[in-house]
Amino acid sequence: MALVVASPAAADPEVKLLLQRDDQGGTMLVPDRPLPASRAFTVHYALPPDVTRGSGYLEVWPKLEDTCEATRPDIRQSHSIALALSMVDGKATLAGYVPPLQVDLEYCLKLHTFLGLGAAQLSAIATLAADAMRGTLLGSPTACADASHELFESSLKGALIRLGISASNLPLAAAAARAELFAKTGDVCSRLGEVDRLSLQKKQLVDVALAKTKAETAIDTFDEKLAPLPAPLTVVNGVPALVDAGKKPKPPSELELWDGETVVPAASVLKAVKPRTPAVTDVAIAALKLGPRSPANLKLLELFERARDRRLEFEALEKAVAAGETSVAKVKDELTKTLVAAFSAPGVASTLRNPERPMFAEPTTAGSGETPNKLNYASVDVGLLAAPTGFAVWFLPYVGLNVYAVAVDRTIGLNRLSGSMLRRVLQVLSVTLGATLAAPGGPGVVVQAPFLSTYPLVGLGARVANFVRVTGGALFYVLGDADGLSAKKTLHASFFFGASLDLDLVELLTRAAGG
Amino acid sequence: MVKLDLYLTTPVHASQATEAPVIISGAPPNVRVTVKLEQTRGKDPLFGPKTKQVRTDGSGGAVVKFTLRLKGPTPAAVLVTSATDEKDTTYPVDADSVEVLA
Repeated sequence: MALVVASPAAADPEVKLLLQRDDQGGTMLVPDRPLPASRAFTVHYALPPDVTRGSGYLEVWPKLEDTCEATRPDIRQSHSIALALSMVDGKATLAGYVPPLQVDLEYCLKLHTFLGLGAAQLSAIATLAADAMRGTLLGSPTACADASHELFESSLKGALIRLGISASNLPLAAAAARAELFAKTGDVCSRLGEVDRLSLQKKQLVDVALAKTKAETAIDTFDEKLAPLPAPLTVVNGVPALVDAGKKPKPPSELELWDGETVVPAASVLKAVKPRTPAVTDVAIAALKLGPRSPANLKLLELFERARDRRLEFEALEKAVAAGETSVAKVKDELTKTLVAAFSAPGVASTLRNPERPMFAEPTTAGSGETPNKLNYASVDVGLLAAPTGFAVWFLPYVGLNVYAVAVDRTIGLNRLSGSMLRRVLQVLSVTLGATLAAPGGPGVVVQAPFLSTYPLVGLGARVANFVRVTGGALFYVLGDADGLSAKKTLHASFFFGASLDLDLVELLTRAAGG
Repeated sequence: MVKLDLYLTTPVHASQATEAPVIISGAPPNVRVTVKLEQTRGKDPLFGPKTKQVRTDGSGGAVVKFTLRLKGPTPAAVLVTSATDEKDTTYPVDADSVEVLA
């Protein structure tokens, strides 16, 4: 009886497809065992380590031509089998369910895999793409808020090129990264304004530094004659540095100034103006304010005051820049992390794919003569025959043994048998040897069994439907003398044709017995 | 978990026939699934929507192949697939994108 297994069972055999180098340096698939025939089986293909995403499909079709290069979806038993991702022993595997294949038929196999990228690859891509995009956004912080799809895609593309990784589906991966960025970006984009502000402050710092240097140079090059400063002059007046230092100043013979470290003659300070520490500047200003207000003294005082103002401005700006740099470093760090997170989003990982590289397997014969039914060359069935003799038409039940020239595949429906015409004919044609299950008779004749009390028959049968066989042949019987006057018996043969349920009784009984 | 996977094989050249397989996995065994494919982005006229029906195998898997000719050139042609089965289960959509060369 033709049985179609509807779903995979635990007992279904497994075939692993292994990668093997071929003679041309390419790769080829090799099944780890012969393909089973006449029963469903599962097929497994282990993914490379590190790859945890993917799916695929396996094309299986009977090899009717010299090569397997062209798939033949148009022929019988051509299957496209979906391969789903599953974990086997902790390893990612593509697995699919192959319907029963016809025994002794050679099949071509072509595997299409669509695999995700490995974790290490994805991580490297995210880092490089984020780096490239960070540079662009920092160069134009206003671009962050409405970063274009193209920017994401070009960043991804650049990262892939640099890493030498080939991947498809970039536009959708870029869209996923962009969506992720705008979903989780927080105020990173708005804080990128700090980068602009810092840049402006740095420019101002340079300007102020130049102005400060200019003011100090004017003091350095000041060569007008100063009006003598009054002497002795109490140095402590207006010079907090001295008081702060806790020094007790001696009455100076001339104006002395505290430069923050030691007491130096005012004249040397005013002439050389070095070291130009803040304290020296302050003391010089104090001294000049206390001295005579000659034009030269006032001019020098103005120069010192300008230098002091520029210095104070410079120092304030310098502090602001230092604070800004710390803040911008944080913003940059945050931006980097945000971008890496965007390019590492699950949406990106699930959309980036390795380009497809279909792989062929060596043509493989299913079963090699073996099917789950060990008696696949023969079957026993029962049927009804009609034998028109010259004196009657007999309708008799019979039991027959059907012997085939090839291993018969009862799982494959007759309308799905494939292969050459001869192969298909041999799958249905059998020689039938049997005997009737009832004794025939007829009016005016004595019909006797010719052999061991049975009426043997021999014929040629053909499976014509999944459950029906027709048989034609000869039925043997012995005719005796109807009057009983003679012991003469003659062997006769009559043509018969019969139909039987195509039940493989042996198989059914074996199964019923749990075999 | 029921899943649809659409794959476009690269490179794709404008107006040349290209095959787009849709792989169904994790569906109930032996149900009829109606799979729809349409282009949502790219150069006009966009492909589809077109539908095909397929019956899942014993493990709830099936493969449907669409043949399409995309207009180009375009940096990104986006195709989206969706499906429902005879039990009115809606399958999660999947999409793939590809550059269409001249």
